[in-house]
Amino acid sequence: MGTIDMIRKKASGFLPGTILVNVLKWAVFAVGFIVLLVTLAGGRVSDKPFEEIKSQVVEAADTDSMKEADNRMVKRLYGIDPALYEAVTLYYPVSNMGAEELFMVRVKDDSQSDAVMEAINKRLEAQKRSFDGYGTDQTAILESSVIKKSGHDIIFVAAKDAPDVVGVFESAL
Amino acid sequence: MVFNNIFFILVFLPVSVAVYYLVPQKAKLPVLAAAGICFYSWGGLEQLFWIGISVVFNWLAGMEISWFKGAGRKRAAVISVYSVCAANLLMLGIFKYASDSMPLGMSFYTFTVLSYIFDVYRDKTGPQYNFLKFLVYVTFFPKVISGPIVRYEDMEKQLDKTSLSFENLRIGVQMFLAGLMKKVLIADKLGLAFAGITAGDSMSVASAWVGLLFFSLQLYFDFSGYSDMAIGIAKIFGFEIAPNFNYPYMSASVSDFWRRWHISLGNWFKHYLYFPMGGNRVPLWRIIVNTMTVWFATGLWHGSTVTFLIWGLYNGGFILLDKFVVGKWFEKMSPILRVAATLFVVCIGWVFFFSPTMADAGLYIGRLFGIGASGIGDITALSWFSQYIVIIGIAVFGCTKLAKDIYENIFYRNGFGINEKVLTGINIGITIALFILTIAEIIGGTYSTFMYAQF
Repeated sequence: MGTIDMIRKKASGFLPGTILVNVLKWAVFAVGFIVLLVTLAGGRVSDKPFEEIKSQVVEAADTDSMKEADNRMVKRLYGIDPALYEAVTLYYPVSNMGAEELFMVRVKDDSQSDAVMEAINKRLEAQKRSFDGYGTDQTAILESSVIKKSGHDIIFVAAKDAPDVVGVFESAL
Repeated sequence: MVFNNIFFILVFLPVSVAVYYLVPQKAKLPVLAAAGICFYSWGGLEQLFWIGISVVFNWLAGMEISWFKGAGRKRAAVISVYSVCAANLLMLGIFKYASDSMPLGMSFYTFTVLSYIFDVYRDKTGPQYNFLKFLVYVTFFPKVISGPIVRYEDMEKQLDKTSLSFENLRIGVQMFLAGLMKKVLIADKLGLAFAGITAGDSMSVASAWVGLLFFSLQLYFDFSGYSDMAIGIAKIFGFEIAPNFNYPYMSASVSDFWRRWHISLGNWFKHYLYFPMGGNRVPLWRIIVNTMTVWFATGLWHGSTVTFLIWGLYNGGFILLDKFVVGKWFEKMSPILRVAATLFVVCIGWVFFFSPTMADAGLYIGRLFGIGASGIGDITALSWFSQYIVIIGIAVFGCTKLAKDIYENIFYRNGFGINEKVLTGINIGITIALFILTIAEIIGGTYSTFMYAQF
């Protein structure tokens, strides 16, 4: 008797359990399927031009203490090459003592999202480390910063009103 | 988490290896499962939900199919296989074609679990009653995100007892480092060059060819580098995974190329689609239909855009051409010409692979042959080519088996008769130097995911 037959013989005692297994199996699938449909109903890729979203977000954010970065500065601060992405914009602190920051990326496809999220987290950690121990206000801003991904758009806001700015971003999509 | 992440290289991998080696045999599988879950969920816990659904659903399905067959209820088993297959493909299809984002490695793990379902139904293996073993089979972290797609029957026995040895550890570490270097020192650099040369609105014929050369080499070093790392890590953990690449750019025909490129996916389609449709043992018209179906499915597996479908059909068409029209005539040509002709066909095919739309692909192919190009040659092509000539040279050399043969001849067969201890010292020294260079590149360079992670 082959191994598979032996397993089957052993398993034949469980046969009444097949109904339970069948129900369980499809219940698991149904849970996944419903969650998938609900997920699909939200968070679709925005077809709005990036520039349009950017202008709404920048208008909502207080960028007085920030300046817009060129590609070289994006590379330096975040370690990502803007040329590889659909669009990237960064407003970074004018002063070394500033913690306010606004970073928006539209990825070409979802495979790029992880790298962007990782870059943001790394930047955030580096900023937290640099203010650790003496920059109470800056640390508070960084602690309450918001990272949000929706479709192919990712935003990172470090500002006192970060949730409001992200709210504008979400409604602009 | 990805293999070229500093945290993975310097913390996650060494810690998980150390724990795995230190714990007793019966604790090794739980450690692997925990490592797999931790690795996979690094990008977000929601990712874990989807793979969890797949693992539980297919684990239950495998038992059910086996029980139906054991009870002689063949019809019920067939219905179960079809419905489970449809459910898996429905989930994958919705994510792939209707959603903005897809759980990491979903194409890979869906094909992994389908191979299990088919193998259980076809009596190639018994069902896995042990949930932990099935969990490890699917979430085994070296392969979960971008393959290779390991068939259940190839991994089943290894789940019972892995073969840990110093030799496996040594080979595994070497393969991992070789793959990491391929990715970081070659593929990523060529990726930047490709993005740069294709960034402008106009392009000369020479620029288009140089760009195509950059992409062709980048894709190979990126994906084969990933596969080497995956196979190397698996070996460190005592698992054997078959090679996924076999010097494809040295192939003497298009058919030969696809037997050497992404071997695990090719084998999957061969075993679970081509052979069940009758394979070659059917009339000519059916072989044509079967081949094109497989290649249509291969294109579909890669993505929903028309370009991937055309890319699949393009390759299927050339395989048929090779098999039935020009094959015998082709075999009489000199090997160098055959390799060159194969490279020409395959590389033109990559244009469909990297182009977002058919219009873009058409424009690029036109430029390769002077249509819509800004001229035959320009300073841009020369500048990019000369800037990257060393990397191109190393990459082209690395595409041949010669590089590996020379390395093994010097360091393992001692072809130059150097003192063994000196030789080992040189080998370790070179490896450490290249490793430091790679780490410096990762830290100082730009982030780059693996190209096949998008599938």
